[in-house]
Amino acid sequence: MKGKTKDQYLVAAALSGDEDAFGALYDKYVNDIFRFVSFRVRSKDEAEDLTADIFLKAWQYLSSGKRDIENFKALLYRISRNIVIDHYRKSGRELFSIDESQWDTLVDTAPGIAETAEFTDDIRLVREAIEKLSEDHREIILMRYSDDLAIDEMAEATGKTKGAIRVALHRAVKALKEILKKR
Amino acid sequence: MRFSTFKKHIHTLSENAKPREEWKRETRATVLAEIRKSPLWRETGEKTPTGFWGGERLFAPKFGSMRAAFATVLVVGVIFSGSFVAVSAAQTSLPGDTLYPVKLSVEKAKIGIAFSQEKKAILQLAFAGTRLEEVSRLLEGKEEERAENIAKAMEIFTGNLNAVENRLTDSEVGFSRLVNERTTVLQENLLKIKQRINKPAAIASINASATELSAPVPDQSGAGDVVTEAEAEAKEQSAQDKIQTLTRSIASIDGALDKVDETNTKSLSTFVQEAAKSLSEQTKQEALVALQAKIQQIELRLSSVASITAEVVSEVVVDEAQGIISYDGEPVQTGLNPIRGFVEQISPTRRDFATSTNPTITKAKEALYTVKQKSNEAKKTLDEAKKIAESNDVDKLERAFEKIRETSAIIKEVDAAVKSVESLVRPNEPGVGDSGGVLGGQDVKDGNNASIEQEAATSTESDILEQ
Repeated sequence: MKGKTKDQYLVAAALSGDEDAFGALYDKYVNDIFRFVSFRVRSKDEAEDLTADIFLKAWQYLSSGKRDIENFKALLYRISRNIVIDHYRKSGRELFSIDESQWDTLVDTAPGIAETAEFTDDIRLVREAIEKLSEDHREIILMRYSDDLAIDEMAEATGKTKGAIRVALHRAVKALKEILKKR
Repeated sequence: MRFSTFKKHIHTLSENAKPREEWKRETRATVLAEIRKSPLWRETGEKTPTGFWGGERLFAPKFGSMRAAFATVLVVGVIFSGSFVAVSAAQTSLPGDTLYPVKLSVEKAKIGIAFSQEKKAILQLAFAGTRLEEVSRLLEGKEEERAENIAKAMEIFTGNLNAVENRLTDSEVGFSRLVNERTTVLQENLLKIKQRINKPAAIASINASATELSAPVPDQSGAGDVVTEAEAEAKEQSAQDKIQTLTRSIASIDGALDKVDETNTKSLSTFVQEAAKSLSEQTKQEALVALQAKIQQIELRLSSVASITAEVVSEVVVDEAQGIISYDGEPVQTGLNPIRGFVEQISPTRRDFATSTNPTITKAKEALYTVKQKSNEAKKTLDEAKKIAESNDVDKLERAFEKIRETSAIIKEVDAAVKSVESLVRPNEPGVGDSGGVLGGQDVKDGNNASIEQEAATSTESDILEQ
């Protein structure tokens, strides 16, 4: 059974009162959503809090019955994006900017990464390059290369068309390459 | 830096951005706990919205809100059938309708996608409740069609409960308690349904209708009424078929009552066993309450046995001299009813009545003695159970349940004896006994009552919950 169809079954079961089904959806996506949030907040604690909120909001949306949910993963990312945007606005930070200390934490927890000076330098350059991008380009680059989302998933998460996402991704990669060339 | 290097580094960082396992577990539990509070997952106990019998908690094992159920049907139905319209229309279908198999398929799909065994069983209970709704609606429909469809619904109902019963073994106390509560409601609802079917009146109506329709029309040619005899026979046959189907549907309801009682008793047994082992005082108290409810239910059942027996006996007209037992449904005007007097006179503890030269009358007397004797025994055992339950001693839960189990076993013997009396006094009713004629006197007197004996001997526990 394909991932999307299996998610539909789980959603149907969850709406029928099967909490194990919603638990299965949580298990499937919690790591991905945590990762998405991790790159966009200032600490691991914030990432944990927001991740929990996202799943609760996902349930609220499902149980409201407002619309049929064909793609639960896309719904999760859409909610995640909205919650993260709210979080950025409350903290006064630029959208999708990466907090330096959080970045350091991510680097420190990656095994074997912090060992070489060359790699440490590279990682610093990666963050600086991301920070130099515009908000829109930054978002697209992170969704594509950090969150591993497909074009259609990015389209659903952002509410844009696939065509618009392709164009935006092309421009974002071009801009990033320009930045990296100079480093 | 090259773009490929950038991608590699960011991918590595991303892969290692993982939550703590402990946090994942705790958050999962917290999220599910919050979700359980939502109206969608609220337990039954809510009144049904409109319609049935004054808004009582009649078909209580409903599951979730209508909107949620609709959403589930939408997703599951479209996945399976590709046709939202068909699936949506099927939700209101009844046994016998074209779309009813679609409805059953959707139910099966919901059970299939449920994750845990307990959830599957809870869905089965909900669908058993749906069967009762269907029967209730069928009873409002056309008589000639409903009997067959009622039997079909009850067959599926029994299947739903079989699936639940299979999951009771080694189940947790919470699950067995839930099953006990819900099967108690199913029992109550099913009894109310049975009370709506007045078998003698229905049979009388079918017969009257057949007589009217088959009344010979005078032949204009003056040749007599010969031309309508074939028609009359066909009408008569049709009436008999309808009576057979009616009897079958009532038998299927009786079978369903047996099944729900069996599941209810098994769930109570599991609940009591687990509660006895539990350290929780509250769980033990809840088990005690469930036992007390069961005792009340059995008390009602016992008190109904006396009235059923009286009802059956009042229909008997016996002529000792001619050895006839017949059922005419009319109040007895003469004194030819030794059976009625017999019931009032016999002692439940001393078998000191005289047998009759008529074997059928002897059988009836034996059966009535058994009814009285066993009813007495059942009452004594139930009183013992009641005493234990009223002591509020949670350490004696299992003992109280054993007494209840004993009482139920005795009541089954009572039911069998009542059925035996019924079959003797209503030999002409299809499915009850067949003595071959209206009076059946000759057959009975000659001892050619093999079919009656067979009927009496094979009538087993049924009609348990005629309350």
